[in-house]
Amino acid sequence: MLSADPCSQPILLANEPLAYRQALVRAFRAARPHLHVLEVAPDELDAAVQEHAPLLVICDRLTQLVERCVSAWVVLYPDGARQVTSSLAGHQERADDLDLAALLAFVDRAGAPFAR
Amino acid sequence: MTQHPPHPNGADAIRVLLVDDHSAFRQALGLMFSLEPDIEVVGQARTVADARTVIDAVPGVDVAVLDLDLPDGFGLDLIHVLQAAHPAAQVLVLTASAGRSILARVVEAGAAGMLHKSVDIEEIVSSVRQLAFGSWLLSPSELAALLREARTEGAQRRARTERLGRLTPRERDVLALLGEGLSDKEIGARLRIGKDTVHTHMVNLLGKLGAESRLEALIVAVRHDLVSIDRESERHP
Repeated sequence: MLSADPCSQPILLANEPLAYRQALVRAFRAARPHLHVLEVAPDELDAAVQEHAPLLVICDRLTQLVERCVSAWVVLYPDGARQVTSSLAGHQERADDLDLAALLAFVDRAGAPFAR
Repeated sequence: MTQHPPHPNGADAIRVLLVDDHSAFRQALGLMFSLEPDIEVVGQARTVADARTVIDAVPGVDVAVLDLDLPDGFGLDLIHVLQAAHPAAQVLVLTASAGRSILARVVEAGAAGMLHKSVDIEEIVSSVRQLAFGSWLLSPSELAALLREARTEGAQRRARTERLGRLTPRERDVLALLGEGLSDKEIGARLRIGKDTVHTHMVNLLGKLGAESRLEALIVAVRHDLVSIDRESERHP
């Protein structure tokens, strides 16, 4: 695992398409204003993971680095498919959809140890 | 805070309906819209069936933001339902599909515009406002050209469908097995007919489809779901 100051660890959103990413970033900032939410382009995800050691990554394509080094991640609608895979501390779940409340609850669980 | 003019519908806000099967996105978009002072999300739906219920239940819709690929049908099929219930409603299609022929079909179905999901979210918000205030997202000449293209494509589609309807059951079998990549000999073995008979069916079906080659016949068949070459087709446009 990458190490960093947990109080500054962000949630990284790197999912495509752009409208999805931007809508989720705004929703997270509105619903969880205490969280540090960062938006990155998918091809910058690994560099951002190394730089920020995020609490949680939301992407549409899992990278090896994210799988290996980030304890919580969500792969949301890969290639537009009706499919969501989430992983928290090694426990994976798959579903064909995820509503925003469930995603926020997952974010809360991922960030719970460091909630301010 | 930006001041927006009062909406011509007489309501305080632009009434928006959201239809998209990706709930996390749709609800995030809904939350984002609800933070805009001049926009109210009056309903959301994940499926065509849900959307029909919501359309009947809401008192008014100014702009519907529709996805095309829904779990139980095609988003465009909702346009006439929406416009029957709310005649002034405008439709903005928000899709992961690209291409002019899709846009032509969208316009022909009665949508006022189409945006790709890769656009900046601000463009979606501003397009909703434009449509609510009666502006067009397409120029009249662009609209006319798209409608012409849709009409031509529709005629070609109907002609191809008609040609496919002329195939006999055996010719359809031959075409389906061609789609599996089988040779004439293998098709013959599978159907328990001679290679020459397969060849005769092939010549006949090419003639009926107006195809110059087996490949062209196969493309026509795939486009009309007569032959499946991709079983992992659970993808979103």
